[in-house]
Amino acid sequence: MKTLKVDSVQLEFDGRKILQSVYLNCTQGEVIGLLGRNGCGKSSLLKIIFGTLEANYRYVSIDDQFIHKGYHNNRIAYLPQHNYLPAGIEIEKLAKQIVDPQSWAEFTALPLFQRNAGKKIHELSGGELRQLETMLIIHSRADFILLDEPFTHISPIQAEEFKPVIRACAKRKGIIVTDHQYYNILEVSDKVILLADGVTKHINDNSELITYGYLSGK
Amino acid sequence: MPDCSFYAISIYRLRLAIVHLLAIHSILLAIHSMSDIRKLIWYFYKPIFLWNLAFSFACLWLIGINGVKVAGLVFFFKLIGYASTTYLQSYTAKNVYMYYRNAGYSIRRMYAYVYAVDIAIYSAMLATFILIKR
Repeated sequence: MKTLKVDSVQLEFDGRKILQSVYLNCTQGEVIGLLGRNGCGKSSLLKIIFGTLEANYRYVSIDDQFIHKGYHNNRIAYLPQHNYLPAGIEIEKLAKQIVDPQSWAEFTALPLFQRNAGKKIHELSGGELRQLETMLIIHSRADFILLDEPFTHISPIQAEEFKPVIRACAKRKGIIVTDHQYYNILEVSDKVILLADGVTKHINDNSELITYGYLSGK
Repeated sequence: MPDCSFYAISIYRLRLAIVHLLAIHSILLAIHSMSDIRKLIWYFYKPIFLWNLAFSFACLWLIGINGVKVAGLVFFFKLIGYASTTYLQSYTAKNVYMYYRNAGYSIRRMYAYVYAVDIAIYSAMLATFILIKR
């Protein structure tokens, strides 16, 4: 089982400290839920781990081996908040470049894929495209998966369908997931981390989310 | 006694051969080390193919007017094409960069492969053009 470690992340924008003392680790087989208010740096942290955002300082390693860019050699996959699939190419062709060959049968069995395999992205609805992009990342070759707001822009019933897929994927991979729909995060995660004031707080009891001011408690 | 244009053409051909070999070498390296890269290169190249082809034809047109001796100078025009492609892509299609990163490749590497392929195509077009003009 591989372990992803993220330590001592520091990030500043225009002299404002966004992240200053971040520590988290994720082992394959685990789902880590990352919560925090708007603008607290959740997406920035995921981008730093993935390797697309330069931090002032950061230590990211897999099995104690420092990694500079998480995406090199399919070590880490990242679902961004925006759509990312190129236009003008059939879904099946795009999927073959991302999906793990070992998960191909499982992926192609998804009704979502079967309905849209021969289509191009402009032929899909916004919700379908988002679902498909999330499924592609979940079934990718990477050992660790970063999901940035996978439950946003999809219907509640689709969100319900996602959770068992994330849990099943977590048997083979480590997953870090963040979303504002905190109830979905709490339900799907093995561990919850709150990002507040640039610092990670490991949550042992959900009532701590009220203590730290993330939930109102009403 | 050969004139100056003879030497200019010889040097140009030598340069052309080197560029050709470098392009082919980088493509072969890419194909050998990564099985999916050919398709990824095509997906990355597809939206910018016509733009770069237009620059290639413009370069050939300039060479047709001014002669083969300006081929080296005209190549700078081709480089301007690459710079404009990179600039336009980074503004209009930056979102899709994540697709290639999730496939395991950096964007810098994707551009390097695509431009190597484009240079190979341009070199082939130029060689054909020179042969036809003779």
